[in-house]
Amino acid sequence: MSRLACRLRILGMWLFNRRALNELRWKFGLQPLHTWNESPFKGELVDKWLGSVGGKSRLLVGVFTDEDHLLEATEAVRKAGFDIHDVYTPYAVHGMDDAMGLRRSRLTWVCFFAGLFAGAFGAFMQYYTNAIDWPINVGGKNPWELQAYVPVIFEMTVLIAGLTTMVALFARSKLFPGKKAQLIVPGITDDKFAIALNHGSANFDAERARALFARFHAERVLDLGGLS
Amino acid sequence: MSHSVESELREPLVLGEKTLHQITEDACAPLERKPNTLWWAAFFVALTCLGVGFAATAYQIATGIGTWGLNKTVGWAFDITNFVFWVGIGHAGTLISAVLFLFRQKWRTSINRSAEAMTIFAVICAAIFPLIHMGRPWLAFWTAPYPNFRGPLWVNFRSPLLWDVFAISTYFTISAVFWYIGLVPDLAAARDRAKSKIRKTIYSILSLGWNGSARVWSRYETAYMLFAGLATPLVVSVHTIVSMDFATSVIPGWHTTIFPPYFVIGAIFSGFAMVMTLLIIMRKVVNFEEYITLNHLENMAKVILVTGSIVGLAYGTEFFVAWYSGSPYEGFTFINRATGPFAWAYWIMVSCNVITPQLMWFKKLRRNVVVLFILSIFVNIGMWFERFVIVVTSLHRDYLPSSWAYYTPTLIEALTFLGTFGLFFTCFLLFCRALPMLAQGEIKGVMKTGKRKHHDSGHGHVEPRKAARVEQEKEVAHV
Repeated sequence: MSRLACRLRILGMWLFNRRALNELRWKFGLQPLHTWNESPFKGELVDKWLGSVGGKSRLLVGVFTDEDHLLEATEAVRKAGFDIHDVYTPYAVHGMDDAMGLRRSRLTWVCFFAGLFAGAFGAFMQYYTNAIDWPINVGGKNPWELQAYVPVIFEMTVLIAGLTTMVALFARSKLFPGKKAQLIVPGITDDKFAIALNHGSANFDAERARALFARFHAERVLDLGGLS
Repeated sequence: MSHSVESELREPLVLGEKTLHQITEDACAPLERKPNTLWWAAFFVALTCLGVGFAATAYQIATGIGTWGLNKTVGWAFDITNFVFWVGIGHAGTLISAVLFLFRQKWRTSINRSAEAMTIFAVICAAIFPLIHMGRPWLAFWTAPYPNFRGPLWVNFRSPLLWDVFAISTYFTISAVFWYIGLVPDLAAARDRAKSKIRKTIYSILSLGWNGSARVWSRYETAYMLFAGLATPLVVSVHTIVSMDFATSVIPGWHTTIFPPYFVIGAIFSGFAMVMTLLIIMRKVVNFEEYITLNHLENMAKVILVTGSIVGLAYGTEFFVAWYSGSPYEGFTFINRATGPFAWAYWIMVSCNVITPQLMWFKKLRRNVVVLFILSIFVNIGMWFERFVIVVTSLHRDYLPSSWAYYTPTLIEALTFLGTFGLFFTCFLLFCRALPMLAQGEIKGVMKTGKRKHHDSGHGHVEPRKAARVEQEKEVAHV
């Protein structure tokens, strides 16, 4: 979550839901607000909020060193009803989508419709330029014969579908140059695996989560974010 | 849980029982150590070639392409040969990264990154030639269909040469994007290991804040699959279109329907040979012999054998059709190829492309690095001559005997070609130093480190691997 989004959200709470704001402040160890003249733009809470991982207040993180244990643990915590904030792995773990219960990515549709649009655009571009705006007589042939225009239609389709997919991937995943990577534990791009559970959910039971992590040979369990 | 269990009988993809951490270490090692003398020597030679090529290019652009050995009869020769040669080289990279990905060939993971890099550099080298051939390369943007004040006078979309513009630029863009997307997780790994501030900053910017989130991995895998799906028909289309530069003409020897598949297969053939040449050197120099194993080389040798045989079949088919069509011009062109003034080039092509790859039927030779290296060089040479034979021998005997001619390249042309080799190797050597050469994210994914032990022992508990960095882990900061 960006700084601006945090501020807007806090502003919204300040105006309409003072109680939730004070609960949030309490969670971060800040004094509840009592007067109307305390500005929500002060940034104190924003900093605390952003300082916690992923904009969430607190996470219970199980660190694993083995792919299989990670998969089993993910499945187990999900079935136990915990709210999985995210799982962090150094490589794409096969079967993780099912274990986490993620739905299929919709990037395929982005790619499909971008390709469809690009193909149509490629056809129209050639039709307009070579058959309407300035038809060139090449050996007395018709200005518009589809076969001759297929290669460029195809190339346009691939080019625009590919670039759109890339942009969509980065935009949806909020990856952009200059973004500061927030690693949940060091070594997550090397050989560590981590499951992060949200403390916030209603039936969160830290002891039970710790027990589950331990059952699947978690190397360590960390309590991240906020003040405990 | 249901996992794919690797057979114990199958040879491992990576030798030496690597842990995940060791893979990271090994993949990042070339980036983190000082280059050795061999690297500097190679870099110096490559840079020299590049400099010579640059001077030659500048000279011919300033003077005009009259500096070439072309004549009225042979209007396309060295330049177009080199163009087709370099585009062909590029094809193996996309084949390895996209087609083998779709076919779930796990062995691709050790070689795909460097093969993709090779693709990009080869396409850059290829693009230089038509640019120079334009004569006035500063007007190259005229090939783009943009609204202009010359009418607007549009480009002719029915010309295969314009298809080429679209095909090559699309191919370059999509290959670069595919390569970069594959690089992001590995750049993140390099970032998290970087000691110096500058390295950390550069890798941070390039890795886009990647933090290994499984939600992102899920989308990433989908996007990667989509790119593989887009790149596969693309790679076929690119050399198909390159072949149409010739096949849509009416020149005997060019005007054949076999050209698209023949060119695509030839491209894969030559590309794999170049990948092999590079990887045999690289695995030795950078110490990647446990990652790029004899198995990888053997697999590539098998691809070379298959594609080489198909290329041989295509040569035979061309001859057969030239006779069977009953066209005297076709017949003459092919007889002339094998016996005319350029017969030497033809027979170099046949012996390098058809005869030597047949040695790959023998397993002993397929697993012999020296033999493979020599073979790959042979194929590189043979495939260059294939393009030379197609381009030049079809032209040099015109319909009127009075216009028959011979073609000899000038020094400028040769130096330009040398220059593209300089460019190619300079880029490749810099790539070896600056970017992770092994796709460690993908290699780790096919390692199944814990899996084997996990499945054959009933108790299900795996001893945690020896953590090499216990100290570091103790310092995990609470955010």
